[in-house]
Amino acid sequence: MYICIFASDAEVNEKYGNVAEEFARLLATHDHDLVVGASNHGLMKKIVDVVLQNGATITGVVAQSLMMPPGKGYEEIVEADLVKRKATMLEKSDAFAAMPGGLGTLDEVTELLEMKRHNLHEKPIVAVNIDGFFNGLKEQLERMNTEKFLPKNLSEYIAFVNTAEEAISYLESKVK
Amino acid sequence: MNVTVFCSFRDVGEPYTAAAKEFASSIAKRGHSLVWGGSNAGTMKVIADAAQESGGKIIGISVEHIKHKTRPNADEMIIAQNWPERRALLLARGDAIVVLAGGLGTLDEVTEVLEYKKQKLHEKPVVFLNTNGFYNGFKMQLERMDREGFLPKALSEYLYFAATPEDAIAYIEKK
Repeated sequence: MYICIFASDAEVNEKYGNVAEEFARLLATHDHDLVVGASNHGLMKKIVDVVLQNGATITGVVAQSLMMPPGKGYEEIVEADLVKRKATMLEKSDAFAAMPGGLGTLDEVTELLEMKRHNLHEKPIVAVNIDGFFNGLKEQLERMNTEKFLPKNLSEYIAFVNTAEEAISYLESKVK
Repeated sequence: MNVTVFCSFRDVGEPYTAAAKEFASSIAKRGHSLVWGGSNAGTMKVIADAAQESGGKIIGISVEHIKHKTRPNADEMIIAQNWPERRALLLARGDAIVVLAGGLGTLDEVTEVLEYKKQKLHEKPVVFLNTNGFYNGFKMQLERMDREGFLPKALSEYLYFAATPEDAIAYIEKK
């Protein structure tokens, strides 16, 4: 399947990089391919490098060309408009995994959740909660769930897992 | 000024409804107009009622898909073609953004506004009305991102968490 990863393009703590790389390796060795929307820096670059080294392909849905060498399993769709870019990423992906990131990652994830609520897609979303990075988001969504701000149970929208292996297993269990 | 409010179209719990009512009524009394999602249900109805009862102008921005739910007597009602256009108009028409307790739609709207602020597409103040600590989880998430270098600027440059409606209004008027 095509797994879209959201992650930071900043240089971040090694504990995040290690799990992100492990997930990228599992993705490739389990015969999946990667869809990315961010730039090719920081944590995102680590993921891209590992995926290519392990022989999977990458589809970049990007605001401007990343200037990566073609012909090495990298295909690029340039879409400057943020709204269109997100729509193309949704169309190209079967499942989504959020790694530690900033406002961009939060924006992508919440939009996918909202579109799921509107029944515009049913694709699985997993937040890889390395060292409790996403505990705040989790707490927020759980409160919305408890206080009946969500039409369906939270587990229908998103899963929070602690390791790369759990993340890949979860997505594989949801997509044939 | 025009104050854009993001909130739920559902009926929400009492502490949130009371805070929403007080906020909308206060902005109207202070001469500000309400820009909101235009629906006539849930919190959206509560704030439109409160703003009008206090003599304020209300400007609705709905969307084609749910236009049958719009409030009949708004001072202005715009129907966007689709959801992204509606979000863009809600941001464009407000001088400040205030976020009341809401669900996934509210969270989606405000994270987009924050992402655009990061990309320097606007500099409008964004305030969360944190009634009963409703947004403490989201706050904790952003504080962690801030602390660990995931945000280009300090968190306080992007948004403010207000404990009360009064606190929220004081913040946007100062900005």
